[in-house]
Amino acid sequence: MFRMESVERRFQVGEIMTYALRDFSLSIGEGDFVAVEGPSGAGKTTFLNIAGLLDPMDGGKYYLAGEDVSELSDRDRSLIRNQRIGFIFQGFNLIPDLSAEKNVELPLRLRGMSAAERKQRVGAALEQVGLTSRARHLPSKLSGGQQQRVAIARAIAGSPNIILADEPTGNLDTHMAAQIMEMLVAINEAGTSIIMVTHSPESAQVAKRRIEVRDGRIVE
Amino acid sequence: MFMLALETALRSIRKTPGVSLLVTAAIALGVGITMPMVVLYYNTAQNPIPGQSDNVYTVLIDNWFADVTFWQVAPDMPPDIMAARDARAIMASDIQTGTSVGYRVIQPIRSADNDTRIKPFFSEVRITTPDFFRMFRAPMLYGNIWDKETGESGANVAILSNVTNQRLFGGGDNVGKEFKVADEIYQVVGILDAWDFTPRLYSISINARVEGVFVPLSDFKRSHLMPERATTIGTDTPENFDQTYLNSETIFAEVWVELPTAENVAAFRDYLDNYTLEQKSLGRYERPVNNRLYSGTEWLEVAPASQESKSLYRAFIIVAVFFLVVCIFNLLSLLLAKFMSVTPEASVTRALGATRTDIFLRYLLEVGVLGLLGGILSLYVARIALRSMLWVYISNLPPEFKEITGIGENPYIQFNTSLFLATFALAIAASLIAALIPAWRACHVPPAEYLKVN
Ligand SMILES: Nc1ncnc2c1ncn2[C@@H]1O[C@H](COP(=O)(O)OP(=O)(O)O)[C@@H](O)[C@H]1O
Ligand SMILES: [Mg+2]
Repeated sequence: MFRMESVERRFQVGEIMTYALRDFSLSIGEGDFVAVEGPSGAGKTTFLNIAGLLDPMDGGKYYLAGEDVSELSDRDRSLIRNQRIGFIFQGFNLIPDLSAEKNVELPLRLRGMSAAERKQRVGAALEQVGLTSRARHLPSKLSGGQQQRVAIARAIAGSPNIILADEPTGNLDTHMAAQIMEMLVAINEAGTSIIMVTHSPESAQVAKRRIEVRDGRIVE
Repeated sequence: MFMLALETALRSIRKTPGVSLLVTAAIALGVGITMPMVVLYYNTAQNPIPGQSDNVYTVLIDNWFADVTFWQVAPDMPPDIMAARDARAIMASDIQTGTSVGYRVIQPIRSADNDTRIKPFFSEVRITTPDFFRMFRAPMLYGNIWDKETGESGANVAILSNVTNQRLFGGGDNVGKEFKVADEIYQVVGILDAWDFTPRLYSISINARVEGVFVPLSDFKRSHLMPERATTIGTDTPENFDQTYLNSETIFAEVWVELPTAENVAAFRDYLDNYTLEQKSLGRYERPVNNRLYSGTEWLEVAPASQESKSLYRAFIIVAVFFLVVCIFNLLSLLLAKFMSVTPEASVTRALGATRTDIFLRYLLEVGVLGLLGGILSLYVARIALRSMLWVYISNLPPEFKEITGIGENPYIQFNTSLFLATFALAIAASLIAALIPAWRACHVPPAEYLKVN
């Protein structure tokens, strides 16, 4: 359901050409939970950005849910991001002046969903992450762990095929981190594939599959 | 989707009130200064009698000095006012289907019985022939134009503008009532409906609004209403408006004829040429014969007074538009800074599924909303600008002119619906032009750049 073939991504900084990803191939099945590890600068974030259709690729092929998404228009890429992919970032990336529920609602509004359905889904997602009582709070009034749970609710509210998480526990203490990982496991068990970049072995070990990236390639 | 974009835009406006205020103020100032100039120009350039302006012609006969230019703006243009004797010759012709010969004075108007509750006021008074009202489509509300006999008899009858009717009698049908013009009793025979005749094509004072009182020309026999804008060739202007005056070369009469067909026009030209050649042979006119016949449409273009004001307003517009462009450029850099600083939020929204177009439109919407606010505010700015221009204008006038027709509410500088809408269009266009490049730049920032770690 997720397949990358010989994906390449280069950056030119001044005279120097860096290969963030080179001959990067990876295949992931339905309902999988993959932890991506590797040293800093290995290309993990770059991989996730390409997987999330946030960044273009310079070569190779990428198939998502059976569809070739290597060369789509901005509109189609946006549509796929909105309907098939859920993002969880290290820095949470909530919109600071929207309440928790408005943040969760945002991708659903972008999808053009009816108000009634949005309300129902936002309620369910916030309940799943245990934040029903904090629905009206602004992110600044929530702890780091709670903010990340709002971000998770936002990622799952639209029922994506796959969740891409970039060091979701990187900014959290171990107790919070364990909570977040529990939630991700539960989400995965309910059928959503997850690709998670992480530095933490504790987090990585809950995944079904662990891969390591070095110098823009997979060394499994 | 639109509601989301609008909410996001409004949220962003509230978040940076200082920037929002600056954008609104810049638009309001730029547009508010530009629009009055456009209004002035538009009013000068519009046709007050569409459809009729090709049927009426102003008649110019050159009885001016041989070696002195009458109007600096048009060296070979004959004077645009005429001596009484020439005007009489034109009235004697029956080629035209209508003749409007007149002049205007400024005189005190007061109640007939010196009712102290009605404050005397100065008004422009037009002394004219009855065809004037039909040729220039004056709308009659009550009563009628004086008949031929009354006009010729020299009786003191008058038609009032609705403004004068309001001021003298408080409005309503006042046909038959009396009032005073320059201490002579006049009887009301007709009252005009609201009549916004801009520019005042039929008069050399083209930039004023219509007169408040209209009285019969009676073959120039109203000696108590001596022309104010008169120029005499060769000698001093006569002291009294008497037979000597009427036989002199003093020019003051504004002459228009109605010539509905090409044959009429040709025949009238012949008549005019024959008349002037004959007069020249009798020893009049220093210059070669230089008769002109301008249709109303042509006169709007060539009238020296109209050209002067048009080129003045055109210069005003250029200055104002330059100012507006400076405003837009400043806004552009301001918006660029603002939009580039809020890209993290836009990047998150992009990650969640917003297209580049969504983001672009949302930025435009934000500035469009401010542009609309600026447009509303610009109406106030425009008002202040017009008031101050008027103030400068009025303070240069002699005192008795200040009373005339309440110049403060002169319709000449008021907005009509299309100009009102044009103001908003200009405000929104200006804001969108300023927003275009910043929005384009901001929506092309790759979202990934802002999502990694923060
Ligand atoms: N926008 C960029 N411009 C230039 N170089 C970049 C850019 N993004 C990533 N790189 C480079 O690509 C390599 C991989 O980066 P990244 O994917 O962020 O690594 P990781 O997430 O594994 O730490 C690094 O050498 C990094 O310097
Ligand atoms: Mg990284």
